[in-house]
Amino acid sequence: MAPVLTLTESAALRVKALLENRGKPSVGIRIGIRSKGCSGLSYTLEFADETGPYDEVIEAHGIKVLIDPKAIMFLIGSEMDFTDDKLSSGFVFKNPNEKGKCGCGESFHV
Amino acid sequence: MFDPFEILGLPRSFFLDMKVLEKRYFEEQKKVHPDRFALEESAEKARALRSSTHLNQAYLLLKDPLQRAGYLLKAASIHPLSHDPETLTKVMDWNERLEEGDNVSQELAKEEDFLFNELEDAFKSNEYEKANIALYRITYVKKLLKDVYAKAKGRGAI
Amino acid sequence: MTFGEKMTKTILLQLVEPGQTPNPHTNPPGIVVGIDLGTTHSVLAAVLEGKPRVLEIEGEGPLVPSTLKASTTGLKVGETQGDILSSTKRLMGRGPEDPICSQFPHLVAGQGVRLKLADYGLTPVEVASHILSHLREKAEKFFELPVEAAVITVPAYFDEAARIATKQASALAGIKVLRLINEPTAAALAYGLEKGIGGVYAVYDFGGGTFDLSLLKLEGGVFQVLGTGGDLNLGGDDIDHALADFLKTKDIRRARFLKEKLTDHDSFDGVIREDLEAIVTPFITKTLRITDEVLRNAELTPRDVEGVVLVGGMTRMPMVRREVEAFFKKTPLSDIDPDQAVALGAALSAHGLQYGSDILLLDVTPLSLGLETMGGLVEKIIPRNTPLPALASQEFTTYQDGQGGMVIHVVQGEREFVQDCRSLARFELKGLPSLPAGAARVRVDFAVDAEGLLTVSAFEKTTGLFQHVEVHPTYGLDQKALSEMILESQKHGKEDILKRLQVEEGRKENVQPPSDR
Repeated sequence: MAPVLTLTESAALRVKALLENRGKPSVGIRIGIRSKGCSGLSYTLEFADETGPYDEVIEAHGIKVLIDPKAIMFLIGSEMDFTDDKLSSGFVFKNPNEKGKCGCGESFHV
Repeated sequence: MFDPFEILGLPRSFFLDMKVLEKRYFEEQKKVHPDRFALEESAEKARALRSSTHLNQAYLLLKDPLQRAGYLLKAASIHPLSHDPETLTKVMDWNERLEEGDNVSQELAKEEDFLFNELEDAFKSNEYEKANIALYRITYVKKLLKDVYAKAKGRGAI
Repeated sequence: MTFGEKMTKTILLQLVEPGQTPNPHTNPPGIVVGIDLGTTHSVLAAVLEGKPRVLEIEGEGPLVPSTLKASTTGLKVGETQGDILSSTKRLMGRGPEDPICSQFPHLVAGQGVRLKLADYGLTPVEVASHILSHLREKAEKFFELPVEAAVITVPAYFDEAARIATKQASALAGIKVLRLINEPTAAALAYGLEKGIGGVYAVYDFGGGTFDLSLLKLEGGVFQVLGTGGDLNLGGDDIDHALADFLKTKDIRRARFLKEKLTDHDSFDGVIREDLEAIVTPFITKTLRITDEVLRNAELTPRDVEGVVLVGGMTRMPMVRREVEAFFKKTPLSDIDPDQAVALGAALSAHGLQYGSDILLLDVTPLSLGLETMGGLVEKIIPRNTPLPALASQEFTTYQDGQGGMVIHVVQGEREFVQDCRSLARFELKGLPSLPAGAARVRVDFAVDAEGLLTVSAFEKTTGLFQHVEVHPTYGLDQKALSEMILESQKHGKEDILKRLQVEEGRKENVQPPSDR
């Protein structure tokens, strides 16, 4: 079975840098999904202070990624990338479950 | 209670590097300024407005050495001086000379410098009562300097 | 890294503290634009492929004359010939007693500030809303998309009433205002982001109607206004009037034409540049006096200023450039078109507010805000050049035994006496407890938001009596009339309803009592 989520090299590097700069210890990062946004669903990406009892925990490039149990089925097979070019900067999910996205990439529907 | 040092995350001291103050101020405003929440719900906006306003108040207070001194003295439970005969005599004297048309601005500026050094020394050695007196006197000298400037402006000299 | 790259980037998902994920926008993004709503002309700009650009459509250049003309098919914006309304921005937020009114032959006597154009009777707010509607349509034609929101610029020295009038005009034109920003700040933003300048800069903005001088510190993406000053009655228009007087003509348009011609001709049609320069000299002297005062208030000298940015049509005049250069001993910057810098900055600001950015504008109050006290004196509550948003309070007490109420009169300006300041609002705190003189404690709070809009609340401490007033302009549309107009315009098609309202409203008195609400 495909892993729930993979991280690209650049996403991992960026997350590591952000974790180091946070100024307090973190367990890792937490990824979730909520039903807000112009295309129905949107991602949340936050520092994690503790592991929730039902969190799906994956390790990628030495980073602990906690996935909200409600988000697992929407995320399976996704890749998290980080882009920083002239036009845009931030994390991007390449999600095979997505059927559409809003122009800004903030939200999507399945 | 409103604590400008805490708001800006700075050590509580009279001696403050203005560059550091500004840097902290900019960093904090970048986080809380209402423009950061232009598209948010009104509750978020209201919160941003409050935080940003407090930050401005804290910044203005700390930027001004006299207000900063006043805050530190108040925090140390020192009551502001309400009466000091020595100062009043001096001020009356200056006022008279000012009215007679004497140019006292240089003298006043010198006095201001002297008193400011006193204030600094007092804070250096944690002598709050001494700082309190210096602060009281500077306030008067400042006011006199303002009058001198207003007079000169009225005459069209500036 | 330059400012430019950062600002124009789309910000994608960021890693944030727990619970701090921002809400995504809930509507599909439309377009956002920047609008310089100028005295003589208006400019529309937007960020395209990461770069701010002034928008042009077929048949219309970058500068749209801020004029209105009646035709058989309705009102037309941008016409320069025939019977037109022009420069009405100078009337925004003004009352009929204002001396500026004498420059407007279209003004109808005894009807507040209302201008007659053919069969229409229009307030300055309505004229502005027509111009804004026109620009909105222009943007929609350009992008073939609806306009989602806009940043609109105002002179830094615009008072409260004029700012609110501008917001009302936008609401009437169906434009959501992300924020009003000050014209010099917008120009600095354009220079800062596009040309990468940094340090302390002076923006010398000499336009058709107003003069503004702002000092800004540009550092690490922060645009901090250090001080601002200006004159609302000092612009190219006044020079046109002075030149017309000199030429003993009433034809203001001809005077303006000659003024513009003499910018690159030593003489034109019998008028020599020296004549014009003699007329302009006192105006320039006035601008430099204001500049000197702003520097002095900020405890800076021309030497501390890294550079000077020129904005506004008047800065095209060689003499203005010469004098500014002599004052600062620096060649002023004008690599961005002085007629376009403000709109470009507004577009950058709109883009940043809509899509997120690392840029921060920290503005100040241009004028002191205060209250009337005994003897018609003004007690300043928020002094000018206070960073925004700001909050200040002052406690007042009663001066008579058993005094049941207290009139709170809010004023704006630098002068000592109420009669010399601008009256913003007057309200009464009623039902004070019956106490001896001096025993009641009334706290008055002034809160100014990041855009410079004021809210005043009064609070009696012993009883907890509370009153909250949003300051509305004494002259302009009152809130009720405005919301009715907007509601109407949403119910019907915007265009025809506006036309109908102009005709109907044209016959009604518009001056509102100074807010007993």
